[in-house]
Amino acid sequence: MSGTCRPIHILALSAALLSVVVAQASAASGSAAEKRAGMPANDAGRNMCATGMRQSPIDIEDTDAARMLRLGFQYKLSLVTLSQSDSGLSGAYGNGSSVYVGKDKFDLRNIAFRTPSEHRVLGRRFPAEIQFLHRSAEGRLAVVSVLVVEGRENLAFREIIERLPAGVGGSIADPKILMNARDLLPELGSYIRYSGSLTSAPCTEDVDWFVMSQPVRLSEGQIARVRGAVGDNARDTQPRNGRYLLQSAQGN
Amino acid sequence: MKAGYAISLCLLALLSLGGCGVGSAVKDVATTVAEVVKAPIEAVSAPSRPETDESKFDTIPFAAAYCKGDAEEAVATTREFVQKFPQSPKSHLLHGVALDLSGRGVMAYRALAPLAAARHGSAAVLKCGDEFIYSGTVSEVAQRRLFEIKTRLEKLGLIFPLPAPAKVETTSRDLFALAAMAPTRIAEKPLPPQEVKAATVVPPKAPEAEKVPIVLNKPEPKDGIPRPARKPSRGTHFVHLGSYKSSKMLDRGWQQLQKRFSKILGGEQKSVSRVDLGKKGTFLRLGVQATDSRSASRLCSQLKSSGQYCTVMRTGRS
Repeated sequence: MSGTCRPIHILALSAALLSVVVAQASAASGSAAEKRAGMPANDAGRNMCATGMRQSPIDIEDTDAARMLRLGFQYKLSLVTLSQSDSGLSGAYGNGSSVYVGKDKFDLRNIAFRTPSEHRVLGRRFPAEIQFLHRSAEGRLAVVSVLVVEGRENLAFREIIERLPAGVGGSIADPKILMNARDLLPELGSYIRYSGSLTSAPCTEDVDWFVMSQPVRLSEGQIARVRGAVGDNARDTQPRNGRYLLQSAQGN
Repeated sequence: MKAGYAISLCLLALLSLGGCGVGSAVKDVATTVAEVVKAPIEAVSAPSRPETDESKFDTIPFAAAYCKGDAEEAVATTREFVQKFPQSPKSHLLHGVALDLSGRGVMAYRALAPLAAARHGSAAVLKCGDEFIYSGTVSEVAQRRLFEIKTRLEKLGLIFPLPAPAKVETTSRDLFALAAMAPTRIAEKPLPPQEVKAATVVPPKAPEAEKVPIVLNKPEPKDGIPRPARKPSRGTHFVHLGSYKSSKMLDRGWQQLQKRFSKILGGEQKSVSRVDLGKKGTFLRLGVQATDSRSASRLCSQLKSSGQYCTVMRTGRS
Protein backbone atom coordinates (compact mmCIF):
# COMPACT_ATOMS: atom_id res chain seq x y z
CA MET A 1 0.00 0.00 0.00
CA SER A 2 2.60 2.40 1.08
CA GLY A 3 4.75 1.30 -1.81
CA THR A 4 2.13 2.28 -4.36
CA CYS A 5 1.59 5.64 -2.76
CA ARG A 6 5.20 6.66 -2.65
CA PRO A 7 5.48 7.76 -6.30
CA ILE A 8 2.37 9.88 -5.85
CA HIS A 9 3.86 11.49 -2.76
CA ILE A 10 7.02 12.23 -4.64
CA LEU A 11 5.06 13.71 -7.49
CA ALA A 12 3.03 15.86 -5.13
CA LEU A 13 6.16 17.00 -3.33
CA SER A 14 7.82 17.82 -6.65
CA ALA A 15 4.81 19.79 -7.76
CA ALA A 16 4.78 21.70 -4.49
CA LEU A 17 8.48 22.47 -4.75
CA LEU A 18 8.04 23.50 -8.36
CA SER A 19 5.24 25.87 -7.44
CA VAL A 20 7.42 27.44 -4.76
CA VAL A 21 10.27 27.84 -7.24
CA VAL A 22 7.92 29.37 -9.79
CA ALA A 23 6.49 31.68 -7.18
CA GLN A 24 9.95 32.76 -6.16
CA ALA A 25 10.96 33.29 -9.76
CA SER A 26 7.85 35.35 -10.24
CA ALA A 27 8.68 37.38 -7.15
CA ALA A 28 12.24 37.81 -8.34
CA SER A 29 10.97 39.22 -11.61
CA GLY A 30 8.81 41.76 -9.80
CA SER A 31 9.09 45.31 -11.00
CA ALA A 32 11.20 47.96 -9.40
CA ALA A 33 8.05 49.77 -8.36
CA GLU A 34 6.93 46.71 -6.45
CA LYS A 35 10.27 46.33 -4.78
CA ARG A 36 10.47 50.00 -3.93
CA ALA A 37 7.04 49.86 -2.42
CA GLY A 38 7.92 46.75 -0.49
CA MET A 39 5.10 44.92 -2.18
CA PRO A 40 4.91 41.30 -3.12
CA ALA A 41 5.14 40.80 -6.87
CA ASN A 42 1.84 40.14 -8.53
CA ASP A 43 1.84 39.20 -12.17
CA ALA A 44 -1.93 39.30 -12.31
CA GLY A 45 -1.73 42.93 -11.27
CA ARG A 46 0.24 43.90 -14.36
CA ASN A 47 -2.99 44.03 -16.32
CA MET A 48 -4.10 46.89 -14.12
CA CYS A 49 -2.01 49.25 -16.23
CA ALA A 50 -4.34 48.61 -19.16
CA THR A 51 -7.60 47.70 -17.48
CA GLY A 52 -7.60 49.54 -14.17
CA MET A 53 -10.33 52.09 -13.62
CA ARG A 54 -8.62 54.03 -10.83
CA GLN A 55 -5.28 54.76 -12.38
CA SER A 56 -2.75 57.53 -11.86
CA PRO A 57 -1.74 60.14 -12.80
CA ILE A 58 -4.77 62.27 -13.58
CA ASP A 59 -5.58 65.76 -14.68
CA ILE A 60 -6.43 67.69 -11.54
CA GLU A 61 -9.44 69.91 -12.00
CA ASP A 62 -12.86 70.21 -10.47
CA THR A 63 -11.64 69.58 -6.97
CA ASP A 64 -13.93 69.87 -3.99
CA ALA A 65 -12.50 72.07 -1.27
CA ALA A 66 -13.06 70.61 2.18
CA ARG A 67 -11.73 70.26 5.69
CA MET A 68 -9.43 67.29 5.53
CA LEU A 69 -7.28 65.22 7.82
CA ARG A 70 -3.97 66.90 8.46
CA LEU A 71 -0.79 65.50 6.97
CA GLY A 72 1.75 65.13 9.75
CA PHE A 73 5.22 64.83 8.28
CA GLN A 74 7.72 63.20 10.58
CA TYR A 75 10.61 62.99 8.19
CA LYS A 76 14.05 62.66 9.69
CA LEU A 77 17.56 63.20 8.48
CA SER A 78 18.41 59.94 6.78
CA LEU A 79 20.69 58.23 4.35
CA VAL A 80 19.22 58.12 0.86
CA THR A 81 20.65 55.65 -1.61
CA LEU A 82 20.22 56.58 -5.25
CA SER A 83 19.85 53.72 -7.67
CA GLN A 84 18.89 52.96 -11.24
CA SER A 85 16.12 50.47 -11.80
CA ASP A 86 13.69 49.30 -14.46
CA SER A 87 11.46 52.28 -13.87
CA GLY A 88 14.26 54.82 -13.66
CA LEU A 89 16.19 56.67 -11.05
CA SER A 90 15.00 56.64 -7.47
CA GLY A 91 16.27 57.10 -3.98
CA ALA A 92 15.67 54.56 -1.22
CA TYR A 93 15.05 56.39 2.02
CA GLY A 94 16.36 55.13 5.33
CA ASN A 95 14.02 53.83 8.02
CA GLY A 96 12.34 55.96 10.61
CA SER A 97 10.60 58.64 8.55
CA SER A 98 6.87 58.68 8.14
CA VAL A 99 3.80 60.71 7.41
CA TYR A 100 0.61 60.58 9.46
CA VAL A 101 -2.74 60.93 7.75
CA GLY A 102 -4.87 61.53 10.77
CA LYS A 103 -3.88 58.57 12.92
CA ASP A 104 -2.72 56.36 10.05
CA LYS A 105 1.04 56.05 9.76
CA PHE A 106 2.84 55.55 6.46
CA ASP A 107 6.60 54.98 6.35
CA LEU A 108 8.62 56.76 3.71
CA ARG A 109 10.29 54.21 1.46
CA ASN A 110 11.38 55.90 -1.69
CA ILE A 111 11.70 59.15 -3.61
CA ALA A 112 11.25 59.24 -7.39
CA PHE A 113 11.60 62.00 -9.96
CA ARG A 114 9.44 62.48 -13.02
CA THR A 115 9.91 64.89 -15.88
CA PRO A 116 7.70 66.46 -16.91
CA SER A 117 5.13 66.16 -14.16
CA GLU A 118 2.83 63.16 -14.35
CA HIS A 119 -0.13 64.99 -12.89
CA ARG A 120 -1.60 67.83 -14.84
CA VAL A 121 -3.40 70.77 -13.32
CA LEU A 122 -6.17 72.29 -15.43
CA GLY A 123 -4.70 70.41 -18.36
CA ARG A 124 -1.14 71.66 -17.90
CA ARG A 125 1.94 69.75 -17.06
CA PHE A 126 4.58 71.18 -14.77
CA PRO A 127 8.29 70.79 -15.53
CA ALA A 128 8.83 68.05 -12.96
CA GLU A 129 7.26 66.06 -10.15
CA ILE A 130 8.79 64.53 -7.06
CA GLN A 131 6.99 61.54 -5.59
CA PHE A 132 7.47 60.27 -2.05
CA LEU A 133 6.33 56.67 -1.83
CA HIS A 134 5.07 55.42 1.54
CA ARG A 135 3.81 52.15 2.88
CA SER A 136 1.86 51.44 6.04
CA ALA A 137 2.40 48.47 8.32
CA GLU A 138 -0.76 46.95 6.83
CA GLY A 139 0.63 47.27 3.31
CA ARG A 140 -1.36 50.29 2.20
CA LEU A 141 0.44 52.62 -0.18
CA ALA A 142 0.43 56.39 -0.11
CA VAL A 143 2.26 58.77 -2.39
CA VAL A 144 2.94 62.38 -1.49
CA SER A 145 3.59 64.26 -4.68
CA VAL A 146 5.14 67.68 -5.17
CA LEU A 147 5.01 69.50 -8.47
CA VAL A 148 7.93 71.65 -9.52
CA VAL A 149 7.92 75.12 -11.02
CA GLU A 150 10.91 77.03 -12.24
CA GLY A 151 12.31 79.68 -9.99
CA ARG A 152 15.38 80.35 -7.92
CA GLU A 153 17.90 77.64 -7.25
CA ASN A 154 16.69 75.33 -4.51
CA LEU A 155 19.51 74.83 -2.06
CA ALA A 156 17.87 71.79 -0.49
CA PHE A 157 18.15 70.04 -3.83
CA ARG A 158 21.71 71.06 -4.53
CA GLU A 159 23.38 67.99 -3.06
CA ILE A 160 21.00 65.45 -4.55
CA ILE A 161 21.19 67.06 -7.95
CA GLU A 162 24.97 67.05 -7.88
CA ARG A 163 24.89 63.26 -7.44
CA LEU A 164 22.55 62.61 -10.34
CA PRO A 165 24.05 60.74 -13.30
CA ALA A 166 24.79 62.71 -16.44
CA GLY A 167 22.37 60.74 -18.61
CA VAL A 168 19.45 58.33 -18.40
CA GLY A 169 20.64 55.02 -17.01
CA GLY A 170 24.06 56.48 -16.24
CA SER A 171 26.12 55.24 -13.34
CA ILE A 172 25.95 57.00 -10.01
CA ALA A 173 29.40 57.66 -8.69
CA ASP A 174 28.40 58.43 -5.12
CA PRO A 175 24.91 57.11 -4.45
CA LYS A 176 24.59 57.86 -0.73
CA ILE A 177 23.28 61.22 0.43
CA LEU A 178 22.43 62.39 3.91
CA MET A 179 19.31 64.47 3.65
CA ASN A 180 15.92 65.28 5.15
CA ALA A 181 13.04 64.78 2.75
CA ARG A 182 11.13 67.47 4.64
CA ASP A 183 13.39 70.00 2.94
CA LEU A 184 11.98 68.95 -0.42
CA LEU A 185 8.39 69.68 0.58
CA PRO A 186 6.54 72.99 0.29
CA GLU A 187 5.87 75.06 3.40
CA LEU A 188 2.13 74.61 3.49
CA GLY A 189 0.63 71.25 4.17
CA SER A 190 -2.49 71.65 2.06
CA TYR A 191 -3.02 68.98 -0.55
CA ILE A 192 -5.31 67.37 -3.10
CA ARG A 193 -6.26 63.79 -2.32
CA TYR A 194 -7.65 61.05 -4.48
CA SER A 195 -7.49 57.29 -4.83
CA GLY A 196 -5.22 56.15 -7.64
CA SER A 197 -2.48 53.72 -8.55
CA LEU A 198 1.23 53.29 -8.97
CA THR A 199 2.23 55.04 -12.20
CA SER A 200 4.48 52.22 -13.37
CA ALA A 201 3.85 48.49 -13.63
CA PRO A 202 2.09 46.77 -11.98
CA CYS A 203 -0.04 49.92 -11.66
CA THR A 204 -1.42 48.63 -8.37
CA GLU A 205 -4.59 50.45 -7.37
CA ASP A 206 -5.90 51.65 -4.01
CA VAL A 207 -2.95 53.97 -3.66
CA ASP A 208 -3.72 57.14 -1.72
CA TRP A 209 -2.38 60.16 -3.57
CA PHE A 210 -1.64 63.45 -1.85
CA VAL A 211 -0.63 66.06 -4.39
CA MET A 212 0.63 69.07 -2.47
CA SER A 213 -1.27 72.25 -3.30
CA GLN A 214 1.88 74.30 -3.29
CA PRO A 215 4.75 73.57 -5.67
CA VAL A 216 8.45 73.72 -4.92
CA ARG A 217 10.87 75.72 -7.00
CA LEU A 218 13.91 74.49 -8.80
CA SER A 219 16.10 76.57 -11.04
CA GLU A 220 16.09 76.08 -14.77
CA GLY A 221 19.46 74.37 -14.52
CA GLN A 222 18.31 72.06 -11.74
CA ILE A 223 15.25 71.01 -13.70
CA ALA A 224 17.40 70.39 -16.76
CA ARG A 225 19.76 68.27 -14.68
CA VAL A 226 16.93 66.14 -13.29
CA ARG A 227 15.52 65.76 -16.76
CA GLY A 228 18.88 64.74 -18.10
CA ALA A 229 19.14 62.04 -15.44
CA VAL A 230 15.66 60.54 -15.66
CA GLY A 231 14.54 61.46 -19.18
CA ASP A 232 10.94 62.09 -20.10
CA ASN A 233 9.53 59.39 -17.88
CA ALA A 234 6.04 60.65 -17.09
CA ARG A 235 3.07 58.40 -17.65
CA ASP A 236 0.12 59.90 -19.53
CA THR A 237 -2.84 61.06 -17.50
CA GLN A 238 -5.55 58.49 -16.97
CA PRO A 239 -9.34 58.87 -16.97
CA ARG A 240 -10.78 60.12 -13.73
CA ASN A 241 -13.81 57.84 -13.94
CA GLY A 242 -15.87 59.70 -11.40
CA ARG A 243 -13.29 59.66 -8.64
CA TYR A 244 -13.51 62.28 -5.94
CA LEU A 245 -10.75 64.88 -5.80
CA LEU A 246 -10.68 66.61 -2.47
CA GLN A 247 -8.64 69.71 -1.84
CA SER A 248 -7.76 70.42 1.73
CA ALA A 249 -8.40 73.88 3.03
CA GLN A 250 -5.51 76.16 3.81
CA GLY A 251 -3.53 75.09 6.81
CA ASN A 252 -4.64 71.47 6.68
CA MET B 1 -30.41 47.07 -24.88
CA LYS B 2 -31.58 50.19 -26.64
CA ALA B 3 -35.18 49.18 -26.12
CA GLY B 4 -34.40 48.70 -22.47
CA TYR B 5 -32.94 52.14 -22.24
CA ALA B 6 -35.93 53.61 -24.01
CA ILE B 7 -38.29 52.05 -21.51
CA SER B 8 -36.12 53.11 -18.65
CA LEU B 9 -35.95 56.65 -19.83
CA CYS B 10 -39.67 56.94 -20.14
CA LEU B 11 -40.03 55.35 -16.74
CA LEU B 12 -37.79 57.95 -15.35
CA ALA B 13 -39.78 60.67 -16.98
CA LEU B 14 -43.01 59.26 -15.66
CA LEU B 15 -42.09 58.18 -12.21
CA SER B 16 -39.57 60.77 -11.38
CA LEU B 17 -41.10 63.75 -13.03
CA GLY B 18 -44.70 63.03 -13.60
CA GLY B 19 -44.96 62.22 -17.28
CA CYS B 20 -43.05 61.96 -20.51
CA GLY B 21 -45.95 62.82 -22.69
CA VAL B 22 -45.98 59.56 -24.56
CA GLY B 23 -49.39 58.43 -23.49
CA SER B 24 -51.23 55.75 -21.62
CA ALA B 25 -49.22 52.87 -23.02
CA VAL B 26 -46.14 54.14 -21.31
CA LYS B 27 -48.05 54.71 -18.10
CA ASP B 28 -48.93 51.03 -18.12
CA VAL B 29 -45.26 50.16 -18.38
CA ALA B 30 -44.56 52.50 -15.51
CA THR B 31 -47.15 50.79 -13.36
CA THR B 32 -45.59 47.43 -14.12
CA VAL B 33 -42.18 48.59 -13.11
CA ALA B 34 -43.51 50.20 -9.98
CA GLU B 35 -44.75 46.78 -9.00
CA VAL B 36 -41.52 45.09 -9.95
CA VAL B 37 -39.33 47.35 -7.89
CA LYS B 38 -41.82 47.28 -5.04
CA ALA B 39 -40.87 50.80 -4.23
CA PRO B 40 -43.40 52.46 -1.99
CA ILE B 41 -44.46 54.73 -4.76
CA GLU B 42 -48.14 54.45 -4.07
CA ALA B 43 -47.73 54.52 -0.35
CA VAL B 44 -45.93 57.78 -0.06
CA SER B 45 -47.79 60.94 0.51
CA ALA B 46 -48.52 63.07 -2.46
CA PRO B 47 -46.14 65.93 -2.98
CA SER B 48 -47.35 69.00 -1.19
CA ARG B 49 -46.19 71.35 -3.92
CA PRO B 50 -47.84 71.51 -7.32
CA GLU B 51 -45.60 69.90 -9.89
CA THR B 52 -46.82 71.57 -13.02
CA ASP B 53 -43.41 73.01 -13.71
CA GLU B 54 -41.65 69.74 -13.06
CA SER B 55 -43.84 67.99 -15.54
CA LYS B 56 -42.12 70.01 -18.23
CA PHE B 57 -38.84 68.36 -17.50
CA ASP B 58 -37.32 66.36 -20.26
CA THR B 59 -35.15 64.02 -18.26
CA ILE B 60 -34.41 61.64 -21.08
CA PRO B 61 -31.12 63.40 -21.95
CA PHE B 62 -30.05 63.13 -18.32
CA ALA B 63 -30.92 59.45 -18.08
CA ALA B 64 -29.22 58.72 -21.38
CA ALA B 65 -26.10 60.56 -20.27
CA TYR B 66 -26.07 58.79 -16.90
CA CYS B 67 -26.49 55.36 -18.41
CA LYS B 68 -23.67 56.03 -20.87
CA GLY B 69 -21.51 57.24 -18.02
CA ASP B 70 -21.25 60.66 -19.60
CA ALA B 71 -20.93 62.60 -16.38
CA GLU B 72 -20.30 66.02 -17.90
CA GLU B 73 -23.40 65.77 -20.05
CA ALA B 74 -25.45 64.64 -17.05
CA VAL B 75 -24.19 67.56 -14.97
CA ALA B 76 -24.81 70.09 -17.73
CA THR B 77 -28.32 68.79 -18.31
CA THR B 78 -29.30 68.77 -14.68
CA ARG B 79 -27.77 72.18 -14.08
CA GLU B 80 -30.27 73.48 -16.58
CA PHE B 81 -33.04 71.79 -14.63
CA VAL B 82 -31.93 73.44 -11.43
CA GLN B 83 -31.69 76.82 -13.09
CA LYS B 84 -35.14 76.47 -14.58
CA PHE B 85 -36.81 74.89 -11.58
CA PRO B 86 -34.85 75.92 -8.49
CA GLN B 87 -37.73 75.05 -6.18
CA SER B 88 -38.05 71.51 -7.44
CA PRO B 89 -36.56 68.82 -5.18
CA LYS B 90 -36.38 66.50 -8.15
CA SER B 91 -34.18 68.81 -10.12
CA HIS B 92 -31.77 68.94 -7.17
CA LEU B 93 -31.88 65.17 -6.82
CA LEU B 94 -30.92 64.64 -10.42
CA HIS B 95 -28.23 67.28 -10.17
CA GLY B 96 -26.83 65.69 -7.03
CA VAL B 97 -26.75 62.29 -8.69
CA ALA B 98 -25.03 63.76 -11.74
CA LEU B 99 -22.46 65.57 -9.60
CA ASP B 100 -21.69 62.33 -7.81
CA LEU B 101 -21.20 60.57 -11.12
CA SER B 102 -18.79 63.28 -12.21
CA GLY B 103 -16.67 62.91 -9.08
CA ARG B 104 -17.78 66.04 -7.28
CA GLY B 105 -18.68 64.36 -4.05
CA VAL B 106 -18.82 67.40 -1.82
CA MET B 107 -21.06 69.30 -4.20
CA ALA B 108 -23.26 66.23 -4.56
CA TYR B 109 -23.47 65.96 -0.79
CA ARG B 110 -24.50 69.57 -0.50
CA ALA B 111 -27.14 69.12 -3.19
CA LEU B 112 -28.63 65.98 -1.66
CA ALA B 113 -28.44 66.73 2.06
CA PRO B 114 -31.49 69.05 2.17
CA LEU B 115 -33.52 66.50 0.22
CA ALA B 116 -32.58 63.70 2.56
CA ALA B 117 -33.49 65.75 5.60
CA ALA B 118 -36.88 66.77 4.23
CA ARG B 119 -39.85 64.63 3.24
CA HIS B 120 -40.25 64.70 -0.49
CA GLY B 121 -42.64 61.94 -1.36
CA SER B 122 -42.66 62.03 -5.12
CA ALA B 123 -41.22 59.00 -6.82
CA ALA B 124 -37.82 58.82 -8.44
CA VAL B 125 -36.59 55.93 -10.52
CA LEU B 126 -33.58 55.57 -12.72
CA LYS B 127 -32.91 52.39 -14.62
CA CYS B 128 -30.13 51.61 -17.07
CA GLY B 129 -31.01 48.57 -19.12
CA ASP B 130 -32.04 45.94 -16.61
CA GLU B 131 -30.30 47.59 -13.71
CA PHE B 132 -32.07 49.86 -11.31
CA ILE B 133 -29.76 52.67 -10.36
CA TYR B 134 -32.22 53.91 -7.81
CA SER B 135 -35.88 53.82 -7.00
CA GLY B 136 -37.94 55.23 -4.20
CA THR B 137 -39.11 58.61 -3.11
CA VAL B 138 -36.91 61.62 -3.69
CA SER B 139 -35.96 61.70 -0.03
CA GLU B 140 -35.27 57.99 0.19
CA VAL B 141 -33.02 58.07 -2.86
CA ALA B 142 -31.25 61.14 -1.50
CA GLN B 143 -30.70 59.45 1.85
CA ARG B 144 -29.17 56.35 0.32
CA ARG B 145 -26.96 58.35 -2.00
CA LEU B 146 -25.91 60.60 0.82
CA PHE B 147 -24.78 57.66 2.91
CA GLU B 148 -22.69 56.26 0.06
CA ILE B 149 -21.14 59.63 -0.70
CA LYS B 150 -20.34 60.31 2.93
CA THR B 151 -18.65 56.93 3.26
CA ARG B 152 -16.48 57.62 0.22
CA LEU B 153 -15.62 61.12 1.38
CA GLU B 154 -14.68 59.97 4.86
CA LYS B 155 -12.45 57.30 3.37
CA LEU B 156 -10.58 60.12 1.67
CA GLY B 157 -10.13 61.90 4.97
CA LEU B 158 -12.84 64.51 4.70
CA ILE B 159 -13.99 65.81 8.07
CA PHE B 160 -17.70 66.19 8.66
CA PRO B 161 -19.78 68.27 9.14
CA LEU B 162 -19.09 70.27 6.02
CA PRO B 163 -18.44 73.93 6.63
CA ALA B 164 -20.13 76.57 4.54
CA PRO B 165 -18.48 76.71 1.11
CA ALA B 166 -17.18 80.23 1.69
CA LYS B 167 -15.38 79.10 4.84
CA VAL B 168 -13.08 76.79 2.96
CA GLU B 169 -10.09 78.72 1.76
CA THR B 170 -7.40 77.45 -0.49
CA THR B 171 -4.08 79.11 -1.04
CA SER B 172 -3.93 81.88 -3.58
CA ARG B 173 -0.53 80.69 -4.77
CA ASP B 174 -1.57 77.09 -5.22
CA LEU B 175 -1.26 74.91 -8.27
CA PHE B 176 -4.49 76.10 -9.82
CA ALA B 177 -3.50 79.74 -9.68
CA LEU B 178 -0.14 78.89 -11.21
CA ALA B 179 -1.63 76.70 -13.91
CA ALA B 180 -4.19 79.35 -14.75
CA MET B 181 -1.79 82.23 -14.97
CA ALA B 182 1.34 80.78 -16.51
CA PRO B 183 1.39 81.96 -20.10
CA THR B 184 4.93 80.95 -20.89
CA ARG B 185 6.71 77.84 -21.96
CA ILE B 186 9.77 75.79 -21.47
CA ALA B 187 11.39 73.46 -23.98
CA GLU B 188 8.66 73.05 -26.56
CA LYS B 189 10.17 69.83 -27.89
CA PRO B 190 11.58 67.13 -25.65
CA LEU B 191 15.33 67.21 -25.75
CA PRO B 192 17.37 64.03 -25.61
CA PRO B 193 18.49 63.81 -22.01
CA GLN B 194 22.16 63.82 -22.90
CA GLU B 195 21.70 67.03 -24.81
CA VAL B 196 19.76 68.92 -22.22
CA LYS B 197 20.81 72.49 -22.42
CA ALA B 198 19.46 75.67 -21.04
CA ALA B 199 15.93 75.70 -22.33
CA THR B 200 14.57 78.77 -24.00
CA VAL B 201 12.49 80.47 -21.41
CA VAL B 202 10.31 83.48 -21.73
CA PRO B 203 9.91 84.85 -18.21
CA PRO B 204 6.25 85.23 -17.43
CA LYS B 205 4.76 88.41 -16.15
CA ALA B 206 4.54 87.59 -12.49
CA PRO B 207 1.76 88.97 -10.33
CA GLU B 208 2.68 91.51 -7.69
CA ALA B 209 2.72 88.99 -4.90
CA GLU B 210 4.89 86.60 -6.87
CA LYS B 211 8.39 87.90 -7.25
CA VAL B 212 9.98 84.71 -8.47
CA PRO B 213 9.40 83.95 -12.14
CA ILE B 214 7.29 80.86 -12.55
CA VAL B 215 7.48 78.77 -15.65
CA LEU B 216 5.30 75.83 -16.51
CA ASN B 217 5.50 73.63 -19.50
CA LYS B 218 3.85 74.81 -22.64
CA PRO B 219 0.13 74.21 -22.36
CA GLU B 220 -0.85 71.38 -24.59
CA PRO B 221 -3.68 71.86 -27.03
CA LYS B 222 -5.72 69.17 -25.34
CA ASP B 223 -8.49 71.45 -24.20
CA GLY B 224 -8.11 74.10 -26.87
CA ILE B 225 -8.75 76.84 -24.35
CA PRO B 226 -7.33 80.25 -25.17
CA ARG B 227 -5.03 81.33 -22.37
CA PRO B 228 -5.53 84.45 -20.34
CA ALA B 229 -2.78 86.28 -22.16
CA ARG B 230 -4.63 85.87 -25.38
CA LYS B 231 -6.82 88.81 -26.23
CA PRO B 232 -10.21 88.40 -27.79
CA SER B 233 -9.98 87.99 -31.51
CA ARG B 234 -12.52 90.67 -32.20
CA GLY B 235 -15.01 92.97 -30.58
CA THR B 236 -15.30 95.29 -27.68
CA HIS B 237 -17.90 93.31 -25.82
CA PHE B 238 -18.18 89.82 -24.47
CA VAL B 239 -21.59 88.16 -24.32
CA HIS B 240 -21.32 85.92 -21.28
CA LEU B 241 -23.39 82.75 -21.51
CA GLY B 242 -22.16 80.66 -18.63
CA SER B 243 -19.25 79.70 -16.39
CA TYR B 244 -17.79 76.28 -15.97
CA LYS B 245 -15.26 74.55 -13.79
CA SER B 246 -13.70 72.48 -16.53
CA SER B 247 -13.03 72.64 -20.21
CA LYS B 248 -14.99 69.46 -20.81
CA MET B 249 -18.07 70.90 -19.21
CA LEU B 250 -17.57 74.10 -21.13
CA ASP B 251 -17.44 72.25 -24.41
CA ARG B 252 -20.59 70.38 -23.52
CA GLY B 253 -22.27 73.62 -22.58
CA TRP B 254 -21.31 75.22 -25.85
CA GLN B 255 -22.57 72.25 -27.84
CA GLN B 256 -25.88 72.39 -26.03
CA LEU B 257 -26.22 76.12 -26.55
CA GLN B 258 -25.46 75.82 -30.22
CA LYS B 259 -27.96 73.04 -30.54
CA ARG B 260 -30.64 74.85 -28.58
CA PHE B 261 -30.10 78.27 -30.15
CA SER B 262 -28.83 77.21 -33.54
CA LYS B 263 -30.48 80.14 -35.27
CA ILE B 264 -28.95 82.68 -32.91
CA LEU B 265 -25.55 81.17 -32.20
CA GLY B 266 -25.12 79.14 -35.36
CA GLY B 267 -22.62 81.49 -36.92
CA GLU B 268 -20.86 82.46 -33.72
CA GLN B 269 -17.53 81.24 -32.43
CA LYS B 270 -17.13 80.53 -28.78
CA SER B 271 -14.86 82.70 -26.72
CA VAL B 272 -13.39 81.49 -23.45
CA SER B 273 -11.66 83.36 -20.70
CA ARG B 274 -10.37 82.14 -17.39
CA VAL B 275 -11.33 84.06 -14.29
CA ASP B 276 -10.13 83.65 -10.73
CA LEU B 277 -12.93 84.40 -8.28
CA GLY B 278 -10.80 83.95 -5.21
CA LYS B 279 -12.51 81.74 -2.66
CA LYS B 280 -14.99 80.49 -5.20
CA GLY B 281 -12.19 79.19 -7.37
CA THR B 282 -11.16 79.49 -10.97
CA PHE B 283 -13.84 79.39 -13.63
CA LEU B 284 -13.95 79.31 -17.39
CA ARG B 285 -16.28 81.91 -18.84
CA LEU B 286 -18.06 80.91 -22.01
CA GLY B 287 -19.44 83.50 -24.37
CA VAL B 288 -19.12 85.06 -27.76
CA GLN B 289 -17.44 88.24 -28.87
CA ALA B 290 -19.51 91.11 -30.21
CA THR B 291 -18.20 93.95 -32.32
CA ASP B 292 -20.02 96.64 -30.33
CA SER B 293 -22.42 97.13 -27.47
CA ARG B 294 -25.46 97.29 -29.69
CA SER B 295 -24.88 93.93 -31.36
CA ALA B 296 -23.97 92.45 -27.99
CA SER B 297 -27.20 93.68 -26.44
CA ARG B 298 -29.22 92.49 -29.39
CA LEU B 299 -27.74 89.04 -29.17
CA CYS B 300 -28.24 88.92 -25.44
CA SER B 301 -31.88 90.00 -25.72
CA GLN B 302 -32.60 87.26 -28.18
CA LEU B 303 -31.11 84.66 -25.89
CA LYS B 304 -32.80 86.01 -22.78
CA SER B 305 -36.16 85.97 -24.48
CA SER B 306 -35.60 82.27 -25.06
CA GLY B 307 -34.88 81.70 -21.40
CA GLN B 308 -31.11 81.62 -21.58
CA TYR B 309 -28.90 83.39 -19.06
CA CYS B 310 -26.91 86.13 -20.74
CA THR B 311 -25.06 89.24 -19.76
CA VAL B 312 -22.88 91.69 -21.66
CA MET B 313 -19.37 92.50 -20.47
CA ARG B 314 -16.98 95.06 -21.84
CA THR B 315 -13.68 93.61 -22.84
CA GLY B 316 -11.88 96.90 -22.52
CA ARG B 317 -10.80 97.05 -26.12
CA SER B 318 -11.82 99.94 -28.29
